[in-house]
Amino acid sequence: MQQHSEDDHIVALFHRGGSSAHTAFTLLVAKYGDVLYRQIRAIAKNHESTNDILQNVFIKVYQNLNGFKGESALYTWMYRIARNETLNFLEKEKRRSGVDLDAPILEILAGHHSLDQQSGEQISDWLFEAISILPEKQALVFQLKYFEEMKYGEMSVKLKTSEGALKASFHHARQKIEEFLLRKLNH
Amino acid sequence: MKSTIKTRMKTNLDIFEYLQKRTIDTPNPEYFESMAQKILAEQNTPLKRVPYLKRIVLWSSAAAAAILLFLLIPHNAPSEKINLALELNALSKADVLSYVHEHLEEFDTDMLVAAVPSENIETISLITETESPEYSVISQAPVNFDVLDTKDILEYLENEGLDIYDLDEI
Repeated sequence: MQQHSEDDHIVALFHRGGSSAHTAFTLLVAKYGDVLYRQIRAIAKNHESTNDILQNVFIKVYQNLNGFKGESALYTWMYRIARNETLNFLEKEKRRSGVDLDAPILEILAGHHSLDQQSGEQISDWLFEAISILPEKQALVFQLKYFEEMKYGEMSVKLKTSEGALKASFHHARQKIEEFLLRKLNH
Repeated sequence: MKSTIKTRMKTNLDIFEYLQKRTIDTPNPEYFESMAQKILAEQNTPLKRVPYLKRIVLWSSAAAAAILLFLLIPHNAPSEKINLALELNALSKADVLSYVHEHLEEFDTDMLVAAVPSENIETISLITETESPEYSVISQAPVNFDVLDTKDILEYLENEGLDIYDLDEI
């Protein structure tokens, strides 16, 4: 519950405007900056792109926070903005010159007959392609559980969703990603 | 066979077991702090206040430009208006009516109504089209149809190549 009241406090402070809004925004960036950074970075793959996207995300958050009605959790709302910004950015980048790749964030362990023939970079690409086509909530839960290793209890508070629903979302997301990767590996 | 399928299924389902995540390092808190400050600075840039003297100069320049523009736009000379009026006076009423009849469709109805003073409306003769009749009424039929047999009528129509159903439409 502390998570909620803290977010509610930040939003209320922002609504006051003036220097209170400045303080609220600084608190918001300090609180959610790193987790959003990692989620964007996992898809955008390098710091430069992540930096640009994250900046756009927070600009949008700043411009639209007054219209935030609290119908979803604050973090879910920001994640939606981040996901859209990231996908738009990647689409533009792809059109412009192809995605810039830094080191992949996945490594392949020896022993899997199909995976052994692929590079970590390729598998990372496929993984994020699979995440990008997942329904928004499943993508969010998968990223928080798989990359952030967040506990369901914490996630439940952060996303205002029951633990059972989160487990189901993660299970479906993981299954869809596995199927996606296997289809890619078998072709 | 069964064991091969089992092995394949196991291999397929365990794909995440063979993927090792690398930690994504995040920048230090100062990075986020400076990002927040940068966005705040950009989003709250106050409008530049133009000094009073500069505002006077700007307004004067705008006014001067507007006057200059007005003077440079060509206007019709009064003499041209007079010439046009004289030319119109030289036209007879018949010429004007003939022109109006010929170009009636080009005139806007409201404009035509406005051009006629209301007290004169009754004195203006309306131009109406007389419809040319497509058929004439015969007061007395040349043949007495009552004495003709239906069979004869149908035979006549058949000989003439006419269909009784086509006649219904006429």
